Amino acid sequence: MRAAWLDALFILVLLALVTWLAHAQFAVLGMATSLMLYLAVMLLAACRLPLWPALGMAVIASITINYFLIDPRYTFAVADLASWAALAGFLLLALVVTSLVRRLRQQTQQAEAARAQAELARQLADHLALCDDAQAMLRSSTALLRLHTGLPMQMLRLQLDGTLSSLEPTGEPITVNPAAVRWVMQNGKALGPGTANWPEAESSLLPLLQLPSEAPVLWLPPSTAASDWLPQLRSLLGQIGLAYQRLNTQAEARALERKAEREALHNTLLSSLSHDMRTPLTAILGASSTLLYQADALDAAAQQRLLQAIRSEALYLDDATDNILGLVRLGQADRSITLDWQSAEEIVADVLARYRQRVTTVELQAEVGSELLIRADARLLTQALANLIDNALVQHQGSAPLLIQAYRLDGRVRLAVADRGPGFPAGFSVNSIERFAQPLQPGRVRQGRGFGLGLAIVQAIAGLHQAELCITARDGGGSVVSLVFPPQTVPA
Amino acid sequence: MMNPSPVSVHSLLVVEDDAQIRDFLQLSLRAAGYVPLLARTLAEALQLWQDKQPAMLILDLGLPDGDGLSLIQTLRARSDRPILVLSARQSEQDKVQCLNQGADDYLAKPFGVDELLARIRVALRRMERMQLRDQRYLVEALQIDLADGLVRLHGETLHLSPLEYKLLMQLAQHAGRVMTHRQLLQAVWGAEYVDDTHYLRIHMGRLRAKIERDPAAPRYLITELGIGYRLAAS
Repeated sequence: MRAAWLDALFILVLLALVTWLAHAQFAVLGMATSLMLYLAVMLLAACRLPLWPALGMAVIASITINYFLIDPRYTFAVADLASWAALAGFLLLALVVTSLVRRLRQQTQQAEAARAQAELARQLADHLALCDDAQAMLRSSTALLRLHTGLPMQMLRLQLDGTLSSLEPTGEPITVNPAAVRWVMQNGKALGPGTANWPEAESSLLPLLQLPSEAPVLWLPPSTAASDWLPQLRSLLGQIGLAYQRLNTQAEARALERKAEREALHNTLLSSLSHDMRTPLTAILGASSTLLYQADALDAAAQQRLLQAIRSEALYLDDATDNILGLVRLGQADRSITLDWQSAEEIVADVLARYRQRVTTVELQAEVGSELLIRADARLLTQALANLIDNALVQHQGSAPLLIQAYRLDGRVRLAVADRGPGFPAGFSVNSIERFAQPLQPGRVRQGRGFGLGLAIVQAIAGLHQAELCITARDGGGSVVSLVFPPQTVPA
Repeated sequence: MMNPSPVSVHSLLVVEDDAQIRDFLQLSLRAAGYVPLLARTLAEALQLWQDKQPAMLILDLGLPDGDGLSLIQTLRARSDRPILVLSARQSEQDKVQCLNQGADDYLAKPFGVDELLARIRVALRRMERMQLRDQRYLVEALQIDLADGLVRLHGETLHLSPLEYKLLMQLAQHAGRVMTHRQLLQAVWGAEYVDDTHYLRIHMGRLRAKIERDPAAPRYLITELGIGYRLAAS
């Protein structure tokens, strides 16, 4: 306001100057040039002043011209028709110029505002595309709007206990009736000044979505700037609302995915418990009861064989328990895993030491590169490798050794088990593991001594380590199943 | 066996709350020529330890009346006699804590009697060696002289880097016993490196490459996954 007032004073001073010049040098300048000087001042006034002051200036200029320049001078009378025409012409021209400039200014301002709005919409769209968390998106989008509009708006959420909370707790406490927020949420309609509902309210509340929802609501403090921004804010909130819905849907899908994953593990766990535990328990019960009640009828060699059976089934149970406990850990929400640098050589050696005791029919051959470190959970990693070996032992045929390899390729450490078996069935891919890895259907016979848990667990373990499970055909027959770990840099 | 000389008969204190396992331990220890002393609780164990002065403690970690860790601390403050911990396989953290507190060794449940007796023999022999101030390690082709610091494999002197040498000496001084990652890192690299397990993995790998015939099936340098390393004692 003060600037406009100064501008008006400046124009008045200019008018006085021009009047003095025209009056003093009228002989040189003449009427036409003098009027042009006045017109120039009017043009400046139209540029610098609002419409009505600019028009006022035009009238003041006309009166001044009449008083100082038109005969008879120093009176408001006009002597002849030509002078009337000059005066009227000047006034008309001044009015036209003022209104033209005014319209031009308005158009420029509108273009400027439209450009700013488009820029804000573009920035918001870019921003929304990058967000992957609904709450964080709301917080940062509100911050963006605040920055652009200069309005201290906030996103409010109605809590379960009926109180309000701001998404950004740093803001000043604001007093809003929770019932009003609930109304906005339930109706999906805006409320407050500049809206159709309760315009006499102190501040505005704008919904994210134009339909009933649980989504937070934007609080806008009362100000004239706020009502200017209102239409655009509502369309921007529409964009934010869509992003909010999209992110929520994605989060729900992810939660469902995790749930399905847990259920798959749970099912594997149950079938494993019922099958892999019960079979060896049956063998132990049978052998020990035979020894207890029918020892007399057995020769020493038979007794020895039964004792051996009890021992080997118990060892098997011990391993199966490990696997099942591992599964339980995998299924836990917090997944209590301990990541540390593990030596591939030590992992392979640990698993092989167990298998070489148990598997006597197939030779297990290790090819392990030196100084290969993997960031992993030692127990889960041995479990994964054991499962790969179990799987390979079921497939493996002939007298060639089963090959267990650890090596680095393209900066990634790989743990691989290569068998000489029939290979995976046609159509098998890593993505269809779930379907193929449910071998424990009722009535199905266990092949070999696998734990029946298979590749699904290996894949779950791989997932926890950001590793990939790769299955490829092996040159000369059989398949290679490998765990490919992400590139990792061992600290110096 | 019928009339062993009093010096050679070792009494072993077994702290175990499960009756079946206690029974099995008692039978097998007696059959192996030891005198088992049985305790069900930590309080009983402490009493027997004071009254009977057993040669060794075998402790089940999951006792009902409290924490085996505190018993280990109490006993370790009073004597050097070996402590063997029995615990579930999955609980690495418990085992590491016990070992760091001064337990000599652990055995994961379930275990066979052969494994248990081997561990007891190793622990008792180490105790005797400590008393005799025996400074030599000899298992198969590997010979380590702790007094003059010579390491020989198949009679030939091995050339080790200073770190490998320090690491091997630590293991040899406690041959047969599990040294936790933390204990080894602290002894060889220093207290500020106790979390840098990758150093240990790299240098153990190099040691294995120099000592073991097949590093993927080590004979001397035994890995206790998730816990530490041990130098095989027999």
